[in-house]
Amino acid sequence: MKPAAKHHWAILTDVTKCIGCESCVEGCRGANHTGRDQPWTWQNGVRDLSASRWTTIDRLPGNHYVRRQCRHCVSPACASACPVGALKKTPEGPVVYDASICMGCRYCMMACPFQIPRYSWDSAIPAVRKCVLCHDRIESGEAREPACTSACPVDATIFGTREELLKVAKQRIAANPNVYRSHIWGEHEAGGTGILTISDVDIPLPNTVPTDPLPERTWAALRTVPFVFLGVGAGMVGLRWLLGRRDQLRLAEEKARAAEASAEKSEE
Amino acid sequence: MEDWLAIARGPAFRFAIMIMILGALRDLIVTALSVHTIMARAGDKTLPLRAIRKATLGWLFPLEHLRQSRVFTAASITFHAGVVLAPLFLMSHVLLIDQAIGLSWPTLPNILADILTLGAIVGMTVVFVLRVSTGEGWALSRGSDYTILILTTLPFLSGFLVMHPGLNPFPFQATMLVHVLSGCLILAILPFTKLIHVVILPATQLVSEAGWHFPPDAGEKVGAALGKENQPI
Amino acid sequence: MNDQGSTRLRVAKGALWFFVGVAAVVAVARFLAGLGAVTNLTDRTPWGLWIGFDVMGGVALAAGGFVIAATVYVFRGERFRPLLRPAVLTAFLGYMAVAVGLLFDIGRPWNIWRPMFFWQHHSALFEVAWCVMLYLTVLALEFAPVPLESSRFHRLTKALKSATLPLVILGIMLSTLHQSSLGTLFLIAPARVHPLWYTPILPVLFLITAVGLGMGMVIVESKVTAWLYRRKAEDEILNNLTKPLAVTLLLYGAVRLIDLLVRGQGGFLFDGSWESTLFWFEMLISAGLPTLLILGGFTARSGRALFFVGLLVVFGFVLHRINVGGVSGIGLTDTGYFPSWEEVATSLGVVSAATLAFLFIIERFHVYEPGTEEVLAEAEVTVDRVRYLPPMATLRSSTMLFVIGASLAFALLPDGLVFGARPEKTPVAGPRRVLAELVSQDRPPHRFMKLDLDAERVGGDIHEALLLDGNRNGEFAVFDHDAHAKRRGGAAACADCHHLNRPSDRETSCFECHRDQYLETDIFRHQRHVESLGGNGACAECHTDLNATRTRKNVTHCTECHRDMVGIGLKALIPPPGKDSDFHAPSYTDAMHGLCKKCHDEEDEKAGVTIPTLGLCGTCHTEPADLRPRRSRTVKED
Repeated sequence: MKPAAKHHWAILTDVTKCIGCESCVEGCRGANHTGRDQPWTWQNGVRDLSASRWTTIDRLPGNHYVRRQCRHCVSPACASACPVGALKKTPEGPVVYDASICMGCRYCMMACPFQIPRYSWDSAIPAVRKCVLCHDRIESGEAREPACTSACPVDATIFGTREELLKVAKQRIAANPNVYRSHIWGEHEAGGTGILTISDVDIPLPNTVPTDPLPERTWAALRTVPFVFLGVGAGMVGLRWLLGRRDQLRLAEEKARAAEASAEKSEE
Repeated sequence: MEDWLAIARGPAFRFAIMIMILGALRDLIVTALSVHTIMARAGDKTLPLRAIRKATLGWLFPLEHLRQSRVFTAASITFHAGVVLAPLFLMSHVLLIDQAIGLSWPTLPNILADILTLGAIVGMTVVFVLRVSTGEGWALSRGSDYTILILTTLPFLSGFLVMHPGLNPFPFQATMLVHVLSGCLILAILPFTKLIHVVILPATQLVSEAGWHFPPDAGEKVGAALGKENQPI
Repeated sequence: MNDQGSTRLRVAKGALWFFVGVAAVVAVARFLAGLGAVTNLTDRTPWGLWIGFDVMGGVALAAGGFVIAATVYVFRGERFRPLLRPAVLTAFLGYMAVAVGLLFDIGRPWNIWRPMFFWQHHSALFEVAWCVMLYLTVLALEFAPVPLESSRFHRLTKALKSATLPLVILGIMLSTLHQSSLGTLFLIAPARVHPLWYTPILPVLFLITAVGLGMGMVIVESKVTAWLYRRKAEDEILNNLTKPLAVTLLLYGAVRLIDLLVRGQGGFLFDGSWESTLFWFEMLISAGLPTLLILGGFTARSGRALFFVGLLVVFGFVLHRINVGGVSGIGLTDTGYFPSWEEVATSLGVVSAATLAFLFIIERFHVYEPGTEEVLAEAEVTVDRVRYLPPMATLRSSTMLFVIGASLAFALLPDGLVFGARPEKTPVAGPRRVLAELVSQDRPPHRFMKLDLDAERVGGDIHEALLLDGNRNGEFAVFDHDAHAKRRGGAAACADCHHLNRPSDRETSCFECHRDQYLETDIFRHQRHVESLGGNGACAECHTDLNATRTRKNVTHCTECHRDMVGIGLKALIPPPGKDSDFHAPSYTDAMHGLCKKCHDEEDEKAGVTIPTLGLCGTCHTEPADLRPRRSRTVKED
């Protein structure tokens, strides 16, 4: 039995507090051994997320810094898209990845509405790369919170359960309604995400992040599969029988008519 | 000029070497398959293997021929020795291959490489002159024989000049470009021309012998094809 | 069906072998070096041509199998039976091509069997994988009697033939699911499919297009083989297909337009964007024009019009799938994806291999009805037709083209892919004399530098400038070196820039312009030295022993001539004589973090200096974030 989404692990990032120091980025790099940033020609600067940079800081005009990482959706499109279950939503909340199962179809990258998963394109044995909320490190007791939140010098990004952090977010907004936008990014986007953000500016999300959980859209079609399968089978068998019967009857009729005609002829 | 040289050494060379390797392999395979099909169809399936072996060895180590036409054979042997040994075992070439793919093998001293190169150039000149001047040579040669002979000499001449810049009246880079490109050209035309003898020479005697073994009903088919059935030919 | 000597057939086979050759080499490169090395795929466009064309298109082209099978067995259209075997064969090979294309595209192809054992019924791709697998098996069993009937496995053949009907029905069931599940694939990615194409009924649309495609493909395939083998095409039978085809096309057009209006996205139809143009183009060639040609009676009159209709339908519907699969999302995701030549070559190669297999099979087995072949050939039996062809003439010319294709591909692969990473050439070309026009009086003066080969003749403010191509994209920036040096205070200030500390820089990190910071650089230019030292005669200036092999390891060291440069870092970049000097400068990042910083740290410590020195990142990393010392480093506070 999965615990309810409210007990999921979560991260709350407060844009008003972030000083853009990228300590979280370096902390993540060290803890997850992601390697050093390699600039690709198509990257928007090295600052963009990449296989070797699982979290990054977007710089908005006016010295606003917005942290970007995997959002660990409550119903993740990537995990539902994965045909082999290499990506899966753990009961604790993080969406984790098992490279040994992955067949490299990259459907998760297509499915993610936030366009987060990255791929190690330069490797002959490539893998999907994204934040896993330090799931293995916390589960094994090696750490008590993700490397990024523990690295933050100003507590701009903090770790907790989703329920708890939502409460914190609401308190902060209520305490300073003139500073914060009255919106918690991640509360409802794509059916709710594990990464919550409060901010004094609007955070541009990749074009159309929907408010409904995306897996539902596929499921609406996939749900009908067994019925369609059997229905088509039955329909085809039935049609064949029906049309065969029609031909048979017509043949019999023709034969009878021919017999009649020949009988008439012989009478004459 | 540097860019041209980079293209010649990079893509052009890769194209040439790949054409040579794959093309030669393909020729070997197709040749083997052809002999097999011919023999399968042939009415008379016996091949004089001993005679074929003798003839093949006679062409691979042409000591017999040395006795028959002394100058021509000697020149040809010098030419072939230089053409094969000098480029394969030149230290600069081995170093390039080592840098590129990490393979290396023993090399010739530069002075010996120079002698072999000059030998190849002189040998080729003598062969050329004899082909033009003697009656049999003239009769047996086609235009392509002369062209290929000259083309083969080009990389050796330019290579020698590159190695000895003091003797070289042309700009260094230009000479190098001619050297690399002509070398590539030789490699690239190898599978399409008589140069293919470097790989299929051991099989030529077998192939030509097999070629004389016709299918059982070959004669009738020729008659039918010419529209002269039942006529004495 | 054996007409190996026909020229058009040999040309066609040669071309197909050529593409297979190119693809073979690219395949090796792809599996050794990874997807990034040969494709233009990025994190923003994770699916490219291989999915869009090979998988989406390949499955589409295979639709003929189930459509004709259904017509013959379920709808009792016995007159279509001559089309059945070629259609099933096309479908089988089409699916094989899809499977091979997938092996290329997925990152870890050795895990391709996993969907069989790790069930994820929520994933549309899981359904696709199962359908491909099962339908491929069904098609193989359906077609197996053809090659088997001339073998000695009579009982097996008989058993398979008696199972045809259940197999056909199973095939139809699987095809229905499979064709539609390709549409389902994109339901989860509304952000990647333009609203003109994205609809919850994508699965239904894909099923309808599959039926249309099936009929179109049968027409095309029959006409092409007829042309290749100088065979008489089954025009009368094919014409019977046009009426149901027209109905399918009309249904498709109606469903799409109605769906658009119901979803309220009709506004996109006439907004003049390139997507709307693409939509109308797609609708015109897939549904509009073919319907008009059929209803106007053109196809009944002319075999050519029939072929043209088939071609339009196939091209139009494959375009629809490619559009859904990525093209329509280009504007939404703001990506500049265009397939690399390697991707195109691989797609062509896979299709070519499938076509060659098709030709191979129809030449050897009874796929087409006898009696339709050699109709034209009869009239042409002359002496010329039995001209001597050496054994395996087709094989000879075909394999030669394979070799040429493979070699060409090998030549065109990037150097780095073949030989491993190499140091880049120095990005500095120049110096040139350029026209400098002053465009502002601000301090520092901004100049507009104009590269003009006739600078001297034109006159004006002529400067000596360097041409820099920092990111090696072939576009040079004209850099007024003298002006910079002067402004920074003459020769003493070289180090200001030659340590890449850009003046007054507070916002940009160095690497945002200087991506080459990560690239090892070849800082020696041979040609310039040859030229400036006086041509061939001067070789001995550096290569003192002319008999030794002239390599970079075996030569007079730079610093022996350039004594004046020792002081400003050349020594640090080039290993001293005797060591492994290859004149490659390490990348700036390596230099700073590996070479420079260490010594600077030590020297600072000796001198008791703390700030500001190179030893602290903050001297170079000038962003507020970077000014704080890293936690891993202890900084002396006193």
